[in-house]
Amino acid sequence: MTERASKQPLIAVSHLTVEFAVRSGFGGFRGGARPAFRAVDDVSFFIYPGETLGLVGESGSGKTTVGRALVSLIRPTTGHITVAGKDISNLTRDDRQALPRAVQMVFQDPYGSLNPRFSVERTLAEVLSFHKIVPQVEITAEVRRLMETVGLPASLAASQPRQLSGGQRQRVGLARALAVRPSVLVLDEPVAALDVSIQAQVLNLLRELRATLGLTMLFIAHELGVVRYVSDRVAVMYRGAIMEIGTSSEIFSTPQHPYTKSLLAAMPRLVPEKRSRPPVLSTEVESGIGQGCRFRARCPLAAPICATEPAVVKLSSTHFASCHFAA
Amino acid sequence: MSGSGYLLEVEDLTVSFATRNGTVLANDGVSLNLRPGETLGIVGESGSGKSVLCRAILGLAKGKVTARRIAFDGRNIDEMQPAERRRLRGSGIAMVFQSPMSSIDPVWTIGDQLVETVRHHKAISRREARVEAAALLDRVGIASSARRLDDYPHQWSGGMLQRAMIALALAGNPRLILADEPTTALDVTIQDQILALLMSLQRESGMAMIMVSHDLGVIAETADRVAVMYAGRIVETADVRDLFQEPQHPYTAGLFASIVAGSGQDKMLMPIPGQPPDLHSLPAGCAFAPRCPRVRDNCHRTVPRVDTTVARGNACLFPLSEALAVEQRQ
Repeated sequence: MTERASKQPLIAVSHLTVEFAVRSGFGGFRGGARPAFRAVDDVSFFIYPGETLGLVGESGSGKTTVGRALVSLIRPTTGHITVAGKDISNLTRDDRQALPRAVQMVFQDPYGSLNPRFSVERTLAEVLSFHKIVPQVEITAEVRRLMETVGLPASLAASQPRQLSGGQRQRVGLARALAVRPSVLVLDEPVAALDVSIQAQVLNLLRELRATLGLTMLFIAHELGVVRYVSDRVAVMYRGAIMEIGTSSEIFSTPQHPYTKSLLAAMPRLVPEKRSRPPVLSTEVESGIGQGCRFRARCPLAAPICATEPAVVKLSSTHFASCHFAA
Repeated sequence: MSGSGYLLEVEDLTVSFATRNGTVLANDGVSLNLRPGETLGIVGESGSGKSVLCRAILGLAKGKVTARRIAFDGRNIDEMQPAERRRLRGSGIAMVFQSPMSSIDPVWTIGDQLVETVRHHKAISRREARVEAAALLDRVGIASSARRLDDYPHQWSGGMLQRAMIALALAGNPRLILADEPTTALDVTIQDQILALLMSLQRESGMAMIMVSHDLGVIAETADRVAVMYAGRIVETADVRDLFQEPQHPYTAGLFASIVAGSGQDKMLMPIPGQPPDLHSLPAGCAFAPRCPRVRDNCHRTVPRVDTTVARGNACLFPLSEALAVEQRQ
């Protein structure tokens, strides 16, 4: 959605659509056309080298599916994803094996994504030797270097995941992703499972790594404050589509889409004052997507025109919103 | 009403668990008071003992519970007969849990569960209870409530189930609600709805509330007073305004410095260094000492305790406000 003539984007996602087959109880036995659930619906965006794009949305918005498509864990139904000019959406198996080096993923729950029987050292060494990142003799040294990069004391090298705290495990997850020297990190809710004081440590580490390693990042999270802290630009997703995208200050200071505004208004403020205001949105997400704007059933501005799909409105060279009332 | 004027009094509560690696104190000398209609916010990170505290108040904690006194409405809970104690749960004190999906029985309809709960509190017929159940769902903002009584939990969203949980809690007209992270599992816009609901129910009924949360924003919007917990102990209590304006305990100050406020990117986060304590091997003295920027020798010798009889208290030998006062004097 963004144009910047000066630089080539490192990641380009164009018209990405991902559908999942829905298994509907006993219906599956009767045959017939299975309904498909469209988790991601015609999503397009760029990420420039060294940039961090935040992807915000509530549960079911499709943000995780976009992230998984970027690391080829999910194949797009239609649309294209290019990384450094190379189309990765329809790769063969062999091609895909070469790919993971460029784009790496860090998961929300480091406990579930680390082998419980592997020590920190083995977890990292395994990746280094599988991808032949360094010669065998240098693996131990490289493990130490990676641990230092993510702020893990060398004394923890022999520890297994259960012996580590949540923050330490997330650092291991990060070190494992960095082991193959990727150019892009996809981080899916990397701090959601962590305590506040540890969250801050990991967020600062991410900012530091971005500066020192020049990493490009897709930072997926539901918490707006956290996204703002690390992102250069932010895309807001709702039920499979991008509602608004812009620089951090555009999204947080001058949001144009009613959904973005609602999200920001719903965030509890750090001002000690007993709330007496009514909720920002009175309804819940309804099931099934009808015609037109997908937010209109909950939207405070909804009007008859919203029954038609809104076009993407350009608000600045970096700021776009998908709303009939954005101007 | 008792002479003290408190609805809930907890004095020197200790909850211990025997584990393979020794005894763990999940709550260590916790004291607190709550007036009728008041909301006490309890803030703390995982393992700080805030959920255990709620369960201990209800008499549901799994470990070994000792306390000098736990009194509800002036009556010592320990001295109550089992039947009276059961009545207290639900009609005196009710609890709203974090995850409605795991607290509501998936094989019963929403209506079944509400009817059973209503009839537990009141000797009325099934038919009458059903009418009351629908009224409860109305109160928590479920539209066409009578029709939805026959729904099963899987047909409801997380936000609706949390409303159902609140309806269950309201069934006995409790005077105190313990809300343990009631919005943590919910999306931001749904959290906003549930907080608005809880606050409006409280205004209507005048019930007191203990709001447990790791989120200082949630505490800011709901609490009158706040207790901050660390490693099973209360380390600071204050009026919510005082706490946000001028935290006294270095841990509380550290929490504030760790969160992204509205200012976002401009402010650099100042995380608390180190890791949360392992309850199996707490340091001698102050549990926060190993991570504390203000630590001195004395901190390793005694466990500082909060004086909960005063409006503002902290469990710190070198609290921040004192330093500020000293600096200002000089």
